[in-house]
Amino acid sequence: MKLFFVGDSWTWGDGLRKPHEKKDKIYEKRFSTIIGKKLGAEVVNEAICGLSNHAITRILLEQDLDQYDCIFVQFTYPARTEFFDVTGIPHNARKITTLKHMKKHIPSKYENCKRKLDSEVFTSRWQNILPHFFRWMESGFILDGREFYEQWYEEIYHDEMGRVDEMLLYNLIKTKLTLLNKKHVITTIFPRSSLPVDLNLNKGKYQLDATNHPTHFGHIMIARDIIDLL
Amino acid sequence: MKIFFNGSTLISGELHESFANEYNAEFLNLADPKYCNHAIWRTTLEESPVNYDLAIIEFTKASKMEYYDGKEWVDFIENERISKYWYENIYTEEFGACDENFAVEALRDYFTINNTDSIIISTDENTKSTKFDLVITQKDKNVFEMVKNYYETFLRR
Repeated sequence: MKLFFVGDSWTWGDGLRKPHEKKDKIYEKRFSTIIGKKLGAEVVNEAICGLSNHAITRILLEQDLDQYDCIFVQFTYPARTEFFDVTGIPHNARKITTLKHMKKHIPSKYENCKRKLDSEVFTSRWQNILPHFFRWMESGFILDGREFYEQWYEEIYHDEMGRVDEMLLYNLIKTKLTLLNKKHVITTIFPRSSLPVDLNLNKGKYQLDATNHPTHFGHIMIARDIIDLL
Repeated sequence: MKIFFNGSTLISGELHESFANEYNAEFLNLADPKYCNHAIWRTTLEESPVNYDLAIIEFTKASKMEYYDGKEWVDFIENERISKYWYENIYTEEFGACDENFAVEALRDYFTINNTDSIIISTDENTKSTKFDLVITQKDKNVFEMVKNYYETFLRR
């Protein structure tokens, strides 16, 4: 049996890592692994922190879904978006901002972070845009002296646009998985979502940490509730 | 026979009526020359057409976009300042191809699950997608015959 998971930081397991723990520890504790162990199944988890619904759908459609017995899709906040960058401008802008942030708030990790970012080779890539904090919304594209995406959210984005895109992408995924005859569970972490999802993970039931991500106990509870849906 | 049409310039012209007349079919046509692929996908799902025998959907240039201005959905280029910068600096073919793929996959699957045959057409001569039944360009003279031939060859029972 093989399971596929895609989503954002909630499905990736952000918030599970304790200081000085390796990433493997997160992988052991996140709900995808707990579900896999419970069902005796192999798990592929393609979740990435900061993904938008656009990215989650894109990653799902890039998979060979035939190989999976059960597919778990976690939707996120509809205001997030992404674009495909070929310039390196966002990469460099975010590098500068991240290093400034590290120097100010986590100086002990600054040198390590700088070494890691300096060694990164730029390749064209999808870039996430998260409007909640400037550091995650920054693209480095400057229009009339201001960050482009600030103006995008002021002049282009509207909650109705988020709602419609969420509905369209949900329908795309739901219909595809139904046609493929794949068992699936669709969740969201957007508390005000009007989607008919199987489970809304962000309604106050699951224990969260200070960064608003599920704790290990939260992941255990989520795993149990998802297994009940199967 | 009942036919559902949606699309942009091609379908909103004479094609939908000629095709429906040819088969003496009832039809619903939502096409609008202003529509982008997102609008074609959105308006189709908002209509949720069921109990049709055939759907003919035209997708247009992958780069066209729309946004909600607080009252209605409008062409992205109506915000000239933002859209000009977007197309000059941020928009890429990869982005357009990804959105095009979402819309094609979504509507193909929608009609399949509703037991409706579909003809999915692109009028974007730059499309690299292989998921369209027909790609119609400005060079094509007899578009009606192309669509009819496709229907007669692959779908008519």
